[in-house]
Amino acid sequence: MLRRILRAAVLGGLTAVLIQGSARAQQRLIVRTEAGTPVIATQVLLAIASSDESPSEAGIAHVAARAVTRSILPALDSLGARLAINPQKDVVAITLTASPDTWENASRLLLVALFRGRVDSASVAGVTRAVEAELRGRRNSPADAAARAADAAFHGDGHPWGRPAVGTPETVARLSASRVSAFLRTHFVPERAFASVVGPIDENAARAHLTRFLPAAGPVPAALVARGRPARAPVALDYDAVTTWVSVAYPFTLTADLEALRMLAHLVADELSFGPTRRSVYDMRSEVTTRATGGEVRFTVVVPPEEAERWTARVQEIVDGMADQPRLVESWRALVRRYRGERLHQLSSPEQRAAEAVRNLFVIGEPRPLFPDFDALTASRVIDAAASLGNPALVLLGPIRPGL
Amino acid sequence: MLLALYLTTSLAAADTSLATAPALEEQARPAIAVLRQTSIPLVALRLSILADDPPGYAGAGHLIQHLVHARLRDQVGRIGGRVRLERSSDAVIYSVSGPAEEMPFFAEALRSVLEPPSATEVELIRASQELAEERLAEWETAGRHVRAALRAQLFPADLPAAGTDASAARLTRRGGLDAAWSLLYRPERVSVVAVGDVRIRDVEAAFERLPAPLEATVASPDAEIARVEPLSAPQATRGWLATAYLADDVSPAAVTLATRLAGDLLRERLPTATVDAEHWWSHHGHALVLVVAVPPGEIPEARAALASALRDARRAVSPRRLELAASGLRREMLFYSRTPDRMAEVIGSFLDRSGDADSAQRFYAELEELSTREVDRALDELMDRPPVRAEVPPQTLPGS
Repeated sequence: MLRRILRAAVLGGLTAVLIQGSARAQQRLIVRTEAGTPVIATQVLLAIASSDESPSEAGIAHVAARAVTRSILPALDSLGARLAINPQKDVVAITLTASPDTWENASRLLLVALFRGRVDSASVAGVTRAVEAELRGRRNSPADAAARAADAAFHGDGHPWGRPAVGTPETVARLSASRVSAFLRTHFVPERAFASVVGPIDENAARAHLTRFLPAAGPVPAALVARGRPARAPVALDYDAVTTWVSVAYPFTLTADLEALRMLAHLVADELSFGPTRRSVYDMRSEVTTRATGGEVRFTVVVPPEEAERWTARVQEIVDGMADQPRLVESWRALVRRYRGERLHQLSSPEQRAAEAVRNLFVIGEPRPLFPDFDALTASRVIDAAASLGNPALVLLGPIRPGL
Repeated sequence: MLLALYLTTSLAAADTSLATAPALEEQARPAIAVLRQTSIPLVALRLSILADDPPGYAGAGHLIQHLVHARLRDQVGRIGGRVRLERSSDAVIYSVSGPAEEMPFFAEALRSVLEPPSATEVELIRASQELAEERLAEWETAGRHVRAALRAQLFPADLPAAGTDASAARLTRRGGLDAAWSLLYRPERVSVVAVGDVRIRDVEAAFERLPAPLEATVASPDAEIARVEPLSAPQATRGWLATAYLADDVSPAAVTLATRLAGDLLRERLPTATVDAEHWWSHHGHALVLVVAVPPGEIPEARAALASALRDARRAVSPRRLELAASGLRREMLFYSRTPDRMAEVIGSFLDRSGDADSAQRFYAELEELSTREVDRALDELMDRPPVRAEVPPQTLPGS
């Protein structure tokens, strides 16, 4: 526990650090040749964070990405290629999956659209209407409300990452074509791009093709985002639902042992999921997220409202218990064997592998082996990882009884 | 080796190869196909017991799947593996996926489903009730309803995977499961497809010895005639119309392309409709199936469009359209099979149907080489046959 407190103090001290752009050239492109994979997955990360958006224009990066790629969708469709856009706190992730014979055309279409594309008022209006409708639909989802509340509590009041990366129906509805166009010109630039390619493609050929649009290396883009200051006290939000969503989010620094943290999250999730002794857990989720300023391990459990406090404490007990768990050492072989299977499934599709490869490049600054060395994982690494976590931000969302 | 070739496009040094184990006459063994992919340390193993449920025991294979599912899921889940069970028109299928290093463990788990099934009376009743619910669910929604009605007319011998009430009664009698198993399982009726970082010799070794079959103690009851009486039509807000053409003796590749063309044209003609164009293909035979769902006011137009769908497709056939359709189908297959378990499913479905692992490669090769004349001929032959139809009318709302 002492280690936890010390660690929290260090994390607290980091809240004031501003992550600045660096002149150091960083690798921006990674190609993983996989002969046996039937399609080529490409992920482009644009380092456009919520901090690049003003609060009144939250969601503009997402709208811009969808608007500027809208006109190429029919062409991609005719090539059998699939496009997915996923706005995150610190980047906009764009994934293209195409068969080997169409990848070059499809990726050219995408990159030209992203960096040289223009939007008109019709396309922006079409996208904002669609996004606004999606966001209004999601407003009634307790899962979405819980995620928004947990984000706000974890990053702190007023922090850009506390806002939803997709914005709100109100901010999206206000976006004009001229604002989106201006945002595109200043933010959708190759200098902010990172990319990965995974599939049956020759590395040199892929690099030669992509570097016509993207830099293979370059200075780290400035991410002017300070670490947030998590809420110190538990946040209880009244919400009209029959269940309560409990979120417990722990911060960690970039020096943390990421694979050990992933295994920790897996072990904790295992102890929290529905089972004969946990019949009241309706749903359970664990996520490990890395960002340039550190990361977050978040556990979300959905439980009956009258048990919310007990489960909030239980999640923390289990995480604390991991830091000193004889059972971990005794049953290590079986635990790591199971973790290996589940972890490998997280990388079973080429899109998942492309996403992890480029995320490593963006956050860590260099490529990392995609498939962890499971033999090198040890119980003491997981125990140390548990001890390295900072104090959690706690959020309860559901019917809140008086006095909570 | 077309699938393997597709997978290795543009690479000189490929790590992918599709290998099949030679059939050995002296000992009954499963058919084995391995697609080796060394770039990710995963493996998908798909084991299927080929062909029909024994006559009179419809639903036996799927009932046994319900009985073993929880055990298999827990066993494989202990090492982070995943399980998927499926009963297709061609086979009873068990699939597992997980770390390639664990292939022997997965193989052992899969071999265990070939042991004679055993169940307590309670387990048997529970599984039987689950199947009864599945039988009803087949008619529950409009889309499933029209498909079930078409299947009963097109392929009377292709009984529902969940069986019939009569076969359920037979299976839950004392000795019913053993009797069905003795008629269903033989090692030579088993196929294994492995996709991932494994070698064929290791897969062969893992499945070298399969459990012995039970000796048949009872004669097979008379084959059931599938008098699948449609249940009452479900409530639907749109009208559902389905038309199908039996395609026996017509080239499957040509029917696949004809189906694609007909579906594309229907979508153009009925922009507000949901259109599904499907090529049903099993060892029972194959058929071109068109299903549309339209708002009530557009039913007459949809009926006319369905009636002329093949004629319209025949008129529209051109080399360019065929090329687009074939490349579209190939790309969809590649996209679908981008994970080892999906790839095993694609190869396995062809293997189950034809008994030949190379049939998937031949099919996609043939697809790309089809001429307009061959597709024209296929459409002509289909149009000469009487179509089979099924409909679910839209509900009439009070005051409408």
